[in-house]
Amino acid sequence: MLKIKNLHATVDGKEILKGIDLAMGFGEVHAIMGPNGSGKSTLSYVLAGRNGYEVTKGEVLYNDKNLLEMKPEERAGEGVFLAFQYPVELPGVSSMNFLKAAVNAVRKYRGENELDAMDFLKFVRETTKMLNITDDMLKRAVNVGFSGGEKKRNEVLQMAVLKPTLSVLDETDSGLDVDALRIVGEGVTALRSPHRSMLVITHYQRLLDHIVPDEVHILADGKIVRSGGKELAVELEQEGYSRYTADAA
Amino acid sequence: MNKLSATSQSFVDACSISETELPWLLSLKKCGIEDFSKVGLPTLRNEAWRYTSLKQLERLDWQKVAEDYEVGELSWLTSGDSYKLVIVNGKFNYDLSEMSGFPEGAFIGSLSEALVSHSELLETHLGRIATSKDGPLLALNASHMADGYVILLSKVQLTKPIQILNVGRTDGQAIAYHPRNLILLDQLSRATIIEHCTGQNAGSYFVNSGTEIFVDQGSHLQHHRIFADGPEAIGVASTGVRVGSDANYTSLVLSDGGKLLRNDVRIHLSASGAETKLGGIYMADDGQHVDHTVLIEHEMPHTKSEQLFKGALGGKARGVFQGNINVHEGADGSDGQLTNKTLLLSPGTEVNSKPQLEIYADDVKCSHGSAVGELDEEELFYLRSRGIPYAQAKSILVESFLSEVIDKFDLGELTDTFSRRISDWIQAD
Ligand SMILES: Nc1ncnc2c1ncn2[C@@H]1O[C@H](COP(=O)(O)OP(=O)(O)OP(=O)(O)O)[C@@H](O)[C@H]1O
Ligand SMILES: [Mg+2]
Repeated sequence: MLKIKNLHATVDGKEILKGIDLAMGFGEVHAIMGPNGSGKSTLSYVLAGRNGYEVTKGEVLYNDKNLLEMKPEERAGEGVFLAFQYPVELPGVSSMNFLKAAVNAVRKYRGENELDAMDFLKFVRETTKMLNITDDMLKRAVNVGFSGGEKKRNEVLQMAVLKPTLSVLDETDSGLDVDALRIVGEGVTALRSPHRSMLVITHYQRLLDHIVPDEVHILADGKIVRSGGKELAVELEQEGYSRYTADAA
Repeated sequence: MNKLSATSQSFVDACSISETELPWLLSLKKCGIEDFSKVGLPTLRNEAWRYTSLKQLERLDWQKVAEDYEVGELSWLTSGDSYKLVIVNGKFNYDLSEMSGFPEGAFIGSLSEALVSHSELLETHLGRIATSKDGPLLALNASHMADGYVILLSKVQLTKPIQILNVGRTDGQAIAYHPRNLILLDQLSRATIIEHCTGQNAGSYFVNSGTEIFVDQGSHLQHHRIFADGPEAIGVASTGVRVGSDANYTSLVLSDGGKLLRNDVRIHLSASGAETKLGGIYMADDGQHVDHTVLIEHEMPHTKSEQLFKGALGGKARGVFQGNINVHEGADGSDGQLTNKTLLLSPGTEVNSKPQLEIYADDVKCSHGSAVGELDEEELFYLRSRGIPYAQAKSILVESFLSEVIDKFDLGELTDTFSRRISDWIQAD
């Protein structure tokens, strides 16, 4: 479902991604690990279509369509979702209105009928309960004054209601306490299905205890330097990245 | 004396002064003519008019308002129960106004009526807080003083709001008029006044209004205004407010119409415990020029002012915000807050934002801030990454930016009216 081929990308003229190859099938979960500054978030932004991230070489096929040609909102409509490492605050935009606008925009894109306020509320309630998100949080402005953990749970909520087929989770486990980690882990696991794939960017093994990956990739200096099974994550947590950064350098 | 421009001279010539008028009124008008004749219409050399040019006034031949006019549909801002005043081209229209049930002892009606029925009160208040010395436009207004609305309340708490509809209606010719209004609240009075300035027939008119407001002795006035004049209208609205002891003047102003608007407000916090809270929302598009100039005088100790003005400019619109807070000597313990933020939605827009503080007192809590910027790229991307199309994402952000001002006010059923104004403007932009 996702094929990344020899992807090169620059930010402000500086090359950050230096030839990434990655292929994921339907229903698969892949983890990406790697040192700070290796280009993990850059990859996630390129997949989501952020301005200023210029692809200089290579291609990305998503369900055999050229992903890089699509606008960010079209990618979301097609089922791509990015859980931000640093979720953005939207002062004055209530979480509830934001979610509703997003869900209905995506439904419209997918040729489904838009939900009215009542139906939407019912639909959201099921998910907020599971993620332990209070009504108060839904009334507040998006991410404004949210704690780090609340912001991450809010990302998972958005993911759950938008029903993506490709989710990129950029350090969704960072800043979570043990309970929140379990809630997020369960939330994400609940979304696993034979037609949904996930790309999980993380520094820790612990989220992968909840969402067991099919493959683990190590990204160092803009390239995937090693791929393996779930045991690679365990190994990394014990040994660190030093040999890969040395390799890559 | 300088030689006046042809337009300035034509405004002077249009004054009709009869020696049989009330002597004090006659002298107010004469002072007005005299003060205006010294300088004429302001140019950019006039410090208070540095960013707003009235040059376009010189291009047209302004006529006096005809005695007879028709009027189209009346657009009220709220459908709830209210007293209703209709003023067409500066003339109070009794046939269209609905004032029945107004409390005994209080007055609501036209300036010309009040000059007869309440001449003593008017003598002691007219021309006292918005004076000919406050600028040429007010001087010009004084020289034409003839009609407008007057509301006089003493020990009265109104249970229904007063809606005032100011219609600028043109029938081919460019017209100029200078309404003078007076609001007086005394001794624990309370009122909500909702003013709507709007145009009919889309022709050129120059409306130069002068409004004097006295909120005295524990009274509270909520005075909300929407300036939505016609596309060729040039509007200068000068408002002078005096807030007395433990009294409060609260005003939310939204502007989205007119070719040029200058909203000039001076508030004198003239006794201890006087407070004012002002909000402003300005939205302007191609060719529009919008100027909000606000001066707050903290004249006495323990007075408080709070202001939030936010605007969005699209097309090639020009915006001006001049906000001055003066804390006078001895006005210790005063508190003045002022924030102005403008969103520039397209490259051709321009804004001049000049907040200013002058403090001559002690133990004063004052702050002012101004920001001008474009929509936040990161916020836009976040919304789009959730499937929300670019145009809608933009709307959401502009709307939330401007709505912050509305959220600061307790507007009741007017909340929707103001919110809808914002979303309608965004949709049309
Ligand atoms: N606008 C920019 N201009 C120049 N360099 C940039 C810019 N944005 C990011 N970079 C650089 O790109 C590199 C990769 O950043 P990225 O955020 O993708 O790393 P990461 O792998 O996600 O790191 P972390 O684990 O800390 O989240 C970093 O060296 C960063 O400094
Ligand atoms: Mg990162």
